[in-house]
Amino acid sequence: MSESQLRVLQGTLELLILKTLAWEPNHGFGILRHLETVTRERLIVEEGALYPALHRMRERGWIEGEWGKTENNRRALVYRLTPSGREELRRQQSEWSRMVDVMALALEPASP
Amino acid sequence: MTHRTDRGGRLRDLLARANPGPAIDQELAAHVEMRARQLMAEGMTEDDAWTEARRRFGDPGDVRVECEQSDRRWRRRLGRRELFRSVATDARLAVRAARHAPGPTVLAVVALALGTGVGAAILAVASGVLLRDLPYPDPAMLAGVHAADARDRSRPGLFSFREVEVLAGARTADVAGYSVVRPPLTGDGLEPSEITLARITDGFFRVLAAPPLIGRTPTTDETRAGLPVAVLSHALWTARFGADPAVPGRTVDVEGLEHTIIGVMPPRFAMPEVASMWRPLSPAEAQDDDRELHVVARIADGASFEAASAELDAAFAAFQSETAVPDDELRSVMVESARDALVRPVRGPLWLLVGAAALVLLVACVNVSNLLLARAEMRHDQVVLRRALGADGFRIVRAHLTESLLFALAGGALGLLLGRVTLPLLLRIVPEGTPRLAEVSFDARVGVAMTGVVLGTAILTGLVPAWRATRATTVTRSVVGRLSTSGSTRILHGFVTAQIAISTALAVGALLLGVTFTRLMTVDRGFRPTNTIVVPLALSEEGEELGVSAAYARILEEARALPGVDAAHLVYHAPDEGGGFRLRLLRPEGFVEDAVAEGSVVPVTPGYFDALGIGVVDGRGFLASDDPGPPVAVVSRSFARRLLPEPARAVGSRFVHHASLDGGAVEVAIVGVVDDIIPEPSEPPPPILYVPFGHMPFGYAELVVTTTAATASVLPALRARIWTVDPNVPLDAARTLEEAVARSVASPRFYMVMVVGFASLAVLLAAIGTYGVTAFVVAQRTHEAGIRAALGADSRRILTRFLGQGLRPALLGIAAGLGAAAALSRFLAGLLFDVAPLEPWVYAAVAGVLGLIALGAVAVPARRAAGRDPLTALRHE
Repeated sequence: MSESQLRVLQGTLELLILKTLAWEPNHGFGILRHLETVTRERLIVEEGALYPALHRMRERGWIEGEWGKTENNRRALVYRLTPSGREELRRQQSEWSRMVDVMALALEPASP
Repeated sequence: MTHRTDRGGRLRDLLARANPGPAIDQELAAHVEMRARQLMAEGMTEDDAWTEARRRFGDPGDVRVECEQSDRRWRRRLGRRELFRSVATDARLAVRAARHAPGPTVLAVVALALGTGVGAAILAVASGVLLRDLPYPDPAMLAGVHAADARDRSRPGLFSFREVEVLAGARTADVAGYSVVRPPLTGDGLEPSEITLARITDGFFRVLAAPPLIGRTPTTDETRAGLPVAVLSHALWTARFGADPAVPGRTVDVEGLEHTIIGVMPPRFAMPEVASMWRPLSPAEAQDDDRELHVVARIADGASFEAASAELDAAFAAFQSETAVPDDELRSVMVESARDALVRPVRGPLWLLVGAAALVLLVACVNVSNLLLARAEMRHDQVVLRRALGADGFRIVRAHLTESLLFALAGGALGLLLGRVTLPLLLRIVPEGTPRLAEVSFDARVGVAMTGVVLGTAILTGLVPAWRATRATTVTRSVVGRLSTSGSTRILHGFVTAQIAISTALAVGALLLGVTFTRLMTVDRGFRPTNTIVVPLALSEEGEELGVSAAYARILEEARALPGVDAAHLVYHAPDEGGGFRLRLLRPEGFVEDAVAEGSVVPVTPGYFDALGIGVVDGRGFLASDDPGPPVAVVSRSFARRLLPEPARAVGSRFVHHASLDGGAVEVAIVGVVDDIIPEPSEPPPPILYVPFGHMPFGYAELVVTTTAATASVLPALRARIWTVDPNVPLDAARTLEEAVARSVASPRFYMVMVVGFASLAVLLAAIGTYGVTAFVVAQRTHEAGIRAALGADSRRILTRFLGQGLRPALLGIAAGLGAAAALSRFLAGLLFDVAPLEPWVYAAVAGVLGLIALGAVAVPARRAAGRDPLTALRHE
């Protein structure tokens, strides 16, 4: 891992998946590639952790999966957001931005 | 990125429901493969790419386990939600269909409600009476013990005290006996009344293991010594002693003997059923050899009914051989569950009624099936469409079962309500003397049974329509529609046959019982029951002090002097009680040497035959001059026929009997023959030897008063007059002969009312069913009728065709029903009187009436369809 690479923060993997699927339905590997691409390979997603997260999210009804074919004609389980998943994305996104603000406030050097 | 969805995945999805593992493996494998391809595209060699892809993914084992757990939870939740949603949809559709056709729906639900309602009420009675445990500890070990004729075990009998003592020596069972009498209860400022007294042997309360509510039960010493200590029933305690908790220690007079009250039993203690007081059998009562003791037993721990039965029978057999009982009088011991022994007389009839109720419910179910099937038929296209869109057979069956379940629930809920309302009414008409009626209620057992019935109803009514629906093919109806309709027509006609068959069978049963009841009501009993009061007179000590004859003479005088009284007589007993002085055997000497015959001696006052309308057929009745005169007798026809050597020359012959007060032989001259009296129509008339009342003065007699005024207006004055002679004679058992006669037909009337009710309901439902089916079938054929009419067939021919098609299944049903009735009616034989189970005219009448009803139910819709304008008919589809 090079200096510029980061691991996914605890608890943010779901948000990243939701955001990715909001773009378009995708299979697990596709989601991973998308995250790697948009972060210019600076974010490291543990591949093994991705699937339990996906299945957990499906259990909660945020996403649903359907078997489809990739461009290489490979069968893969393609996930898409459900309306409740879209709702969850909004919620987690706003929570994340509030968290960023709060962290920024907390870490700011004490004002003179 | 585009993804084509994969239609064939449906089946795999379904399989994955059972085991998500393979799907996860596939998903993960796809991931690794795609990574490897990506790496190869970036220039890696194939081997390196695969190795790197696997390395990056890490250990798939943990991932797989986590995904699998998650998937299982997800699928369970999804399955539940999907089921709920689709059942809700089915239910919504069913309700919509029901609202579309409210008439038939309401009718079907009401039919089910009636069926379930009467079923629930009858089941509650059967459950309380026949199935509920007796209210004593460990009731399964309680036994009823009977002695039966060794050759004919059908008539269980009682034991003498000595015999009970023999049985009480058994090790496998604790045995006790009791006999029941109805003595007067007096004293303590109480109005004299008759009570039901159980005279018990040692161990009675120990066998039943029931502790008293207050006070105590007799000790072994008290019971063995036969001390006059009394235990009250809860009812007597409440009614006569105001539920006074301080009642133990008080004394009461029973049969003029002072008894000390020692305890009160709890309300549910009812052994025997009607007892209001228990006391030890007195030494004098124990001494005679009268077989009047009922026996209850508790099977010992570790012993079985069979073992107890064997031991008791062996002990009894040994006793019989010791006492040299003649072969033809040998008896054997029967041991059965105490509950079964108690309810034996009503078990058969009650189950019969439950069966009849079940049949009514079955007919109601068929009506619902009719409706559902017709409805499904009309939705045929919709089902075909749904199947084409991928609905599986299970889904369609479920839709139908949901619909029938809704019907069953609605009908069942209404029915249970109806049952609750009906039960008290039902209990009011159940003949008195039916055991354990106090135990009847809508209990959990009835609830469970009725839930089962409702579910069964749903399956029963929904199954055929559902099965039909799964056979709906994807070919549209316009091609083979007719074919499928004729298939359902066959089923509907089968339903008609079934309904009519069941109703016919029930109607035969109803008519047989109806005829029985009418015959019982109109049978000539040999006496006139109208305007006749019977007052049992058990003279108290005070009365006996006057001298029995003098007391009776004064009572007669007082009664005759009352306004509205026509005549007053003394007799023992009145004719409704069997007319029996069933004390001693008569020995008709000079007839057959040493022959012993059962007969009754009945003392009556002069003029008794005229007063009660008992016809004198030969010789004369008694005269006032007979009372002090030489021994004379009047015999009944049966007596003359069965016990006299020359029945035709009875008058003037002589007869020796041993029914005198001292047991000695009395020779009487027969001066007259009278008609038989029939106390119990189902039994042959008892042979009776009437003697002048003055010849047999006895402390007990019945006063028979015929009135010119209404009996109810005379009775209070009569009581008051009798109490001026003997203030302690209990008069609460006074009855009118009409009441008594009505009571004797209470059971047949109950069974008749119930079965006639069931049969009427079944016939009505079957008629509705037949009407509905015909209406549906002819509606389906309107098109055909239109074509025929257009081709020149006149409406009469079309009508005949429709009539023929509609009637055929109904007639088939009538035939089948008659057959079934003929096969089953022997179970009714025990309830019938003066009508054979196979009485031809009964079957013919039922066939005729059912045929007419079926004709009506078929003709109305058939005429309507046949009369339609051909053009309208052709536009129908």
